[in-house]
Amino acid sequence: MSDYIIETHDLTKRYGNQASVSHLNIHVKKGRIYGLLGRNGAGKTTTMRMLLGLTAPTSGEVTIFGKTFQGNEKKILPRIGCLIESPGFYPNLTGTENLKIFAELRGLKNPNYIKGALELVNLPYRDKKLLSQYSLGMKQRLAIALAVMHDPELLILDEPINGLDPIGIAEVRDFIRELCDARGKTILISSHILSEISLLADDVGIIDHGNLLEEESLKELEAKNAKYIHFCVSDAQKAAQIIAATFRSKDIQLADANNLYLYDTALPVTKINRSFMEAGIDVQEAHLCEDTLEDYFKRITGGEGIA
Amino acid sequence: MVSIIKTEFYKMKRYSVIWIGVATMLTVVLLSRFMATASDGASHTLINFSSSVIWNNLVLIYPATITLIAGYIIDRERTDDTLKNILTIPVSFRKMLIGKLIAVGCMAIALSVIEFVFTIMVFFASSFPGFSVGVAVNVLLQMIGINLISYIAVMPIITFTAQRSGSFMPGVGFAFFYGFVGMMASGHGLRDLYPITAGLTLIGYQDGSGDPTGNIFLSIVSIFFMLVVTSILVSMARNREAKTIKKKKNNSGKMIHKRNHGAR
Repeated sequence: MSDYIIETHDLTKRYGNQASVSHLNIHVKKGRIYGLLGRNGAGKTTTMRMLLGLTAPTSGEVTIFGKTFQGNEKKILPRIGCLIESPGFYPNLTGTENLKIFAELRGLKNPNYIKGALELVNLPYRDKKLLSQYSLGMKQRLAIALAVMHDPELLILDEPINGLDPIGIAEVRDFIRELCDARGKTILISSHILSEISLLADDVGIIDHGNLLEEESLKELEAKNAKYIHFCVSDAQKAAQIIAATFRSKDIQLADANNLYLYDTALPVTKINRSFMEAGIDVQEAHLCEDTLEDYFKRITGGEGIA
Repeated sequence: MVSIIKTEFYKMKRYSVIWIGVATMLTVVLLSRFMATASDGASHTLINFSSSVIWNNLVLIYPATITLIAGYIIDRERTDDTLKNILTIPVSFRKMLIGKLIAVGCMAIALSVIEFVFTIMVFFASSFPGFSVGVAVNVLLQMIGINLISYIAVMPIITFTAQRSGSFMPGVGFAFFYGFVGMMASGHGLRDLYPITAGLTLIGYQDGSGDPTGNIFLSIVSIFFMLVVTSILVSMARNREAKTIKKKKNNSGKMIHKRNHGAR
């Protein structure tokens, strides 16, 4: 049997001629947090909706818990807790009343399920406040409570920190981490906030325009971040020619007339500096630099950044 | 299914749409009272007055009202964005729809009781003659019967429009027209064949002029036909998905993509 809790095979969703998700192959390992990272509109939510059967794929297949999703929904879905897009609740009811409805539909008769879920997200049990009076952050907490109420093995959380204040974000992050580490849950989380994914995820999938560009562990991804030497000189063009001729390296990028990046970091910086000075090139700065995850993201998505 | 129906009642707590039904029941009773004032000289017994209420309710208000209430109750799962929570339990759209149709059927009975209470209140307030407990019980049963049967008559509209987001309002318009045409159908000998008015024969409705008339068999066939159509529509029911991405501008003028997701 496969080690993956979620696997997709060429998962595609088209709306008319427009592909929202294209031939997506993601692999979520058991007991790990998988971060699906991408800009708004990259196809994260559509992917999650397809994983939950809320949107029918145009082609491709989803396998969850080793079973093909289509045809096994009744066996698979009760083992999943989810939060998709914005929290959806009945505004005329209180938070507890809302959870009671979904507990009843799930066949959870013991009120402790509701009480426990509310306690986890720091919301009061049997509070009289109606959902219509809840802030977005409170609704988001309630949505997380709904997702974990039935103690699922797999959590699919679409942008779970939306609307939360910084303390709330930290709390939810710790809570998700604990669910994974202490309770062995597998978690698929999506976000357009790179720092959140880098703080939380074990594995990362980068999605852009519906295509999965990268899928690796966070450690591997960090190791791939490019290192380079940044020279700020009086004549970058001439400096590049010297590096190419003297040090036989073409791994150079000219940023502008005064800045150049040398990606071959094994070359001796002091000797390069001396060569520049002998050729009459002034060197203002020379640094060893390393790309951040955001730089990496920009690079593989074609230059556009992320929050 | 019991859980689904139970939760439908939980959802109705503090739900303002319920009051639309109560308000229309009061309106139709008051309308009948004013019509009674206009027809001075006629005798307004409980049977006559309640017949007027039943008729006015049937052809003017009830089909549109119950379609509106059912439409709101079904469509709120999309507007409140709770449908995704239900589908991922998983409860299928079809099962949810059946649960809602049963819950609205119960509400139709409750509205009939409210209609009856208003009728009796206005009847006594107007000092009309001819009250007896037996007649009152019969009127209550007639109101429950006709409201349930006319609910069955509009069920295909409710079931059809339920499958597409926001489409219940045209259904309400159609239900109003459908009810109103009942007035003409009844006057042209089609009372038993026309689904909205077919129930009149089954409840032993007297139009104030004499004994109940009509063909019970035809009435049953007509109502049964509507039940069959509803069953077919329910068996094929699913949350219909948009085939394309609609583009519209948000408040900031930025182009956003709106997708009508849905499956099962």
